[in-house]
Amino acid sequence: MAPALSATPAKNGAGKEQQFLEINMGPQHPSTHGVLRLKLTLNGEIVEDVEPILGYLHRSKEKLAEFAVYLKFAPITDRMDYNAPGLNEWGYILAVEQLLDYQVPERAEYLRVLHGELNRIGNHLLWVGTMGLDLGAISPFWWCWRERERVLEFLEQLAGVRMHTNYVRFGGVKFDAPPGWLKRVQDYMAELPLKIQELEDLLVQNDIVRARMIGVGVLPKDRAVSYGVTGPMARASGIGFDLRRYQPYSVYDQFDFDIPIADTGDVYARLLVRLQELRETARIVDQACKRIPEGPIVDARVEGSKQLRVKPRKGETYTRIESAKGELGYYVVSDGTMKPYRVRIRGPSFVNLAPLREMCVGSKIPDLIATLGSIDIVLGDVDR
Amino acid sequence: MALFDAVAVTDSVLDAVAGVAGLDSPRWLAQLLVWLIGSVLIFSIVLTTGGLFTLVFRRMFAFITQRIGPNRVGPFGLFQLVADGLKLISKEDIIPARVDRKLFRLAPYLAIAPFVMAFAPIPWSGDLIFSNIGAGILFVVGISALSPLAEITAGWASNNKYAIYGGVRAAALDFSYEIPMVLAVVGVILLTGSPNTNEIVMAQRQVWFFVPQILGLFIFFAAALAKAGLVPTDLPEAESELVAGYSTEYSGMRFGLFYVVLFANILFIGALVSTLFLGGWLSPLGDLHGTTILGFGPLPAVPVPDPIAWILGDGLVWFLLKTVFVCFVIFWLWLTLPRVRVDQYLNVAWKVMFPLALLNLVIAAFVRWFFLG
Amino acid sequence: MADAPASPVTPAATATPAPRRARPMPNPLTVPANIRDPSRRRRAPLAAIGTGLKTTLRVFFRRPVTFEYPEVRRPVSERYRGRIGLELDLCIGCTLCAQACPNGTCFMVDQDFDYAKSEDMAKKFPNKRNIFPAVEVARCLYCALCEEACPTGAIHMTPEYELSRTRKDMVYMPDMLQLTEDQIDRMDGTKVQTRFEKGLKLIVENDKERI
Repeated sequence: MAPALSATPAKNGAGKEQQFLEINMGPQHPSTHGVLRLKLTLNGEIVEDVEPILGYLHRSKEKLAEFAVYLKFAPITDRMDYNAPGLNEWGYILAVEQLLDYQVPERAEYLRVLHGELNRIGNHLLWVGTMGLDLGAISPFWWCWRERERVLEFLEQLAGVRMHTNYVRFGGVKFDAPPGWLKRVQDYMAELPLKIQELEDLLVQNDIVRARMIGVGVLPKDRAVSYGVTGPMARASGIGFDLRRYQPYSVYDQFDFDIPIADTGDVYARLLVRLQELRETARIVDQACKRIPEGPIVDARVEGSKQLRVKPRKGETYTRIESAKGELGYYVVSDGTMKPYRVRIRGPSFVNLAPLREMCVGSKIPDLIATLGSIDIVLGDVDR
Repeated sequence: MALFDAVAVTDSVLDAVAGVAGLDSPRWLAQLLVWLIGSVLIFSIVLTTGGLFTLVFRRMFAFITQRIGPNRVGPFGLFQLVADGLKLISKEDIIPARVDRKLFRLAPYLAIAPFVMAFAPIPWSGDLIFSNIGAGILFVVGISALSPLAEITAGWASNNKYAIYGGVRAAALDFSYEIPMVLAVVGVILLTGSPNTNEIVMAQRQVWFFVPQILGLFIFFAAALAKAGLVPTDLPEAESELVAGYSTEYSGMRFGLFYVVLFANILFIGALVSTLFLGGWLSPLGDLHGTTILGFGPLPAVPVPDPIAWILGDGLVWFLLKTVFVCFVIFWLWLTLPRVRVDQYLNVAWKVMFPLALLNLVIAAFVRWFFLG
Repeated sequence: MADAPASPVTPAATATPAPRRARPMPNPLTVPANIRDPSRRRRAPLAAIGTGLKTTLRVFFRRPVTFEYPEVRRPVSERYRGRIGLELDLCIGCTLCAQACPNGTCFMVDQDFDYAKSEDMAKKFPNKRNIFPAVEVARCLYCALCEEACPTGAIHMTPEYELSRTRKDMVYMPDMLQLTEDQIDRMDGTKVQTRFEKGLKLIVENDKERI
């Protein structure tokens, strides 16, 4: 049920009643980042109402989880947030591990961090590229994809495929780093800031970009808190909350990195926050490559095909990680058998999409596009 | 510089032919033949260059993004435009059910016709010009003012909300930027004393007009980009916002025509900018026959062999070089800059460009009074 | 749902991950902004556009990084997970791969092709029920869980990724899953390593900027 519109159009010059224009943006549209349908009510160029209609990519993953053993759901979680797949499966494995008693070796933790942060770099690069496209700048898209290609290469060398790596396992990881891989990643992390600088030269200081982004799509801090927004979007609104700092899981407390926080809450702030996060992530990866200890990569009790037969104890857990888009939470209920009883996923894109109407009503269509792009949603995560 | 009189030449040829048969050829036949051949020639040049520029753009875009671009179809990918053209022609001609059929079909022709006509008075060289009319640049400006008509017609006739948005935005932009563009042109006419394009070029013999009229160049360039729908102002066709703007419902060669017109527009802007501000077909080295440059001179007559004089001196080569340079700058901007927002750019048109154009006019008058007597 | 099972959750069984080290953290709502805004420095109005143009021009002169497929193929790494391959000799028909497959891509079929194991292979890896896995390649997730589950190493991932076929051909029967001589050759460990290192050099060379 759509709420009542905030204004009705004035009568036109001939004294006749006018109507707002109702137009559908999507589900097929070059810039809704997937199959998102937005029902727009427009007064000329001004957006009067935005109603997102979701579900076009719903694949009932949460129900699928109940049909098979725990490990078989991991590749399916990969396909939720498909910009940064490794982080999804890490969250799920971490959640189920709370109900198991396996001890993850130190080297495996570092490999998990490397895997996850490389995925995060891929996600942020993708976002910068598509944000440029939404604004009309066609070159940075390709530059970001070039850098992302390097990241995907590293993931291929590590896990065997570029995306949807299915790499994290209960009690460890699947593969060890191949010889020379750590050095290659470290070398690349020295190159990456130069490329980020190039992107900044093109995008951040550009007058047109600033005119399009500053003051657009503002989400004030209190509204962000009340919507439950997390991730870079919240940090751009002034909420300095990062799960890697406040509830450090894995070995994040051993790394030295800053959390970029902006306070204006507009699209420009989100751009700056994510670019800075790219740099910080490069720092984390660099430190991880240097400090990674030797050792086993998986708990010996659950090697090989024992992974398929894990039996968590009866219980429930809500585990959250800082995924590339925000707080990704898994609520796993186990009834002691080899199949989950219930898996509920808190997708960060779904929650971050909620303030869209508030951010966009009253602004113009290009601003709507820019704001939608800046939230960084991926429909796989919104609809699951 | 004597202008090549195509009609006289054709007349003499026809006379010779008729003389063989013993008849008397009427004068109007020569005129008609020249018109026909000239029109076909302009059309070919414009459309071919438009097609070629799509390829050039794609190659340039590829190099800027560290890719290669089309290079398989023909040498350096030159036949890519033939392949694309054939592909577009062979597509099914989809006319949606509830469009206004007459207007829908008319719109692409409305796009191309005034545009090709506006090419006629541009001087390619001292004696190469399709129609040397007295009102030269005024004709160009007037005819190209018809371009928003095509966009509005396409937008309205498509019976599609996105298309209407594209059409309305195009109309708003075109009308708003018409005035600064014309004022910039008027500045140049002031300095020349006549709107004839050849005379504009020849008046730049002392100094090219971008020096006294740097503001005018900037305004004209920005306004022409806005009218053509090129980045940073490609709002009518903003792909990420409006799918394809006013050409959403067009497919096949109808869409191809809009697309080619966009690129041929780039050539047009290049030609206009070089004619009005960059000295047209004049060479920066003078005509190598003892002219003055920037008031210095006369230079000694340089005895160079004819082919070199043809390249280095005034003429077609320099015009093409300048045009290509301006087109390169346009592509460069397209590949670098994002899109401006509609209302922001309309604001700029009326609050910034218009006063600047008036200021430019004052400067032009001042320069004319002081320096040119 | 009339007779839903009783909830397996008991309050004592809830678990949340304990933070590894507790240290006092500032209130996230009052933490000051620390973002570095490079454009806060006052600049001339359109100068930044010039920087952008310069950057674009600089990238224009870099070497392209395209691999001109199909003449030049990017080599894949040793662990690359392409199409599923099956070693018929080693398969014992235990159906573990079909059980491990997340979406039912891998399923067992009766043997209806011409194949008999040699004497010693039949003794070491007996396939009593004569069933083998078939794979619907179009649905495969390439997750390699079947490879993990297989006790003999019969089913494994091959580096083949050029799998476009018409729709009807997308179910690969067990005999089609076998590797050809050429594919076995391409999977040879040392050869893969050599190709891979050549490819790495190519990639690194492509990235050398001419500054």
